[in-house]
Amino acid sequence: MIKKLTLIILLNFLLPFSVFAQDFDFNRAFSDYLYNFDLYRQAYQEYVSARDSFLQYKTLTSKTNAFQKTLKMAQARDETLRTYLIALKMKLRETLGVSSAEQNLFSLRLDNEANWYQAHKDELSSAGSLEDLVELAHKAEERYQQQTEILIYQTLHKILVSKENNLAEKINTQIAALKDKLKEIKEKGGDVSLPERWLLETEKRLNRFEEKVSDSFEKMGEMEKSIFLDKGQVYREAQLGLEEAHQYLKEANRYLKEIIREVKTEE
Amino acid sequence: MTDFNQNFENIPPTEEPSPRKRLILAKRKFLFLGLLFILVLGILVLLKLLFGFKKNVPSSPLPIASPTPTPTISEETIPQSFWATDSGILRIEEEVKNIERELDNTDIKEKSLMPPALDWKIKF
Repeated sequence: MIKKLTLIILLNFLLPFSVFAQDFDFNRAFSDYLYNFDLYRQAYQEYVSARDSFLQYKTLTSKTNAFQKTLKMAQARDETLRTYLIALKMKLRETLGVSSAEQNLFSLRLDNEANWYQAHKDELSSAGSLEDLVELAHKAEERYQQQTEILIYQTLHKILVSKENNLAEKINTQIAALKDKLKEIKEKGGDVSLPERWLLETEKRLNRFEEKVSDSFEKMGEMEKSIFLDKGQVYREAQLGLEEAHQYLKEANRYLKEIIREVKTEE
Repeated sequence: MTDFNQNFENIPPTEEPSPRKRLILAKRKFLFLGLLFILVLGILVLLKLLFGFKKNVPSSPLPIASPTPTPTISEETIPQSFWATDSGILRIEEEVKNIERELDNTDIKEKSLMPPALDWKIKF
């Protein structure tokens, strides 16, 4: 009886958490992030207004107000970044083509960053003066520039590459299936010289795709070499390489369509 | 010998036509012009009948551009091979079509996921 009661009580407590875990997906995480980003923007406007007022009047009241608004803004900034990192993690989790090892590695790094911003947000509350608060807030800037920003772009790049690799894998599967079929046709006396030549062209397109993806990775590697590089610009160049790779996949798939049409047509 | 000494001063006056004769002349002239006009008109009508229908005069001043029809090859017109109904080929064809749809719908930019624009500088 006691066991049953304990089980019911435990289920009562754990069930809502498991339901929440099931419901928490990328869309939910992304909505959380957008909501927090909106709060940050409001807090930022209030901070700007309070700062201007303090710089103009230099009164104790305006300083207290500036402290409160700065704290609110800095905490909202931390929360925005924390929820954004979680949204990225959820996006990566839902992206096809990411291996479990990569999934774990990125999740760990993103969680670590999100936890840092949570801890920093709590630490901000301990600031005793406006000067202390400003100094503490600068820690977040350093962290973002040295670690978080690179991790964000690496995760975004991983999401895009995984999507592309997943599509390339599907095309490769169809190439293999088509090769088997052409072999069968050949054994039954059919002429498959033309489709075989076209299949080679298709494979060449996939090779070009892999080269482009490799170049894109190389570009991303530059990001860690220097802290003075514009990381956003490096990412944009790497992403452009992936767009070109995507075009090669499209061409490869078009060739497959032509091969099938050729096979289906009487000689 | 030809006599070159003509007396120009004494040229006999020409005979004036009578009013009746003048009326007849005017009527003839009017009839001639009328016939000429009818003849020209007749020729113009004949030319219009012969060549008028060959021209395609646009009914509106701005012609509406219609799409140029592109030749489409229907499945029925192409002679199909023995492999056209093979289940393996049809499966591959279906998969390739699915991949094509995925390729067209894949967002290779993911702009909405770009990092938020945050102001890091706090200055007093």
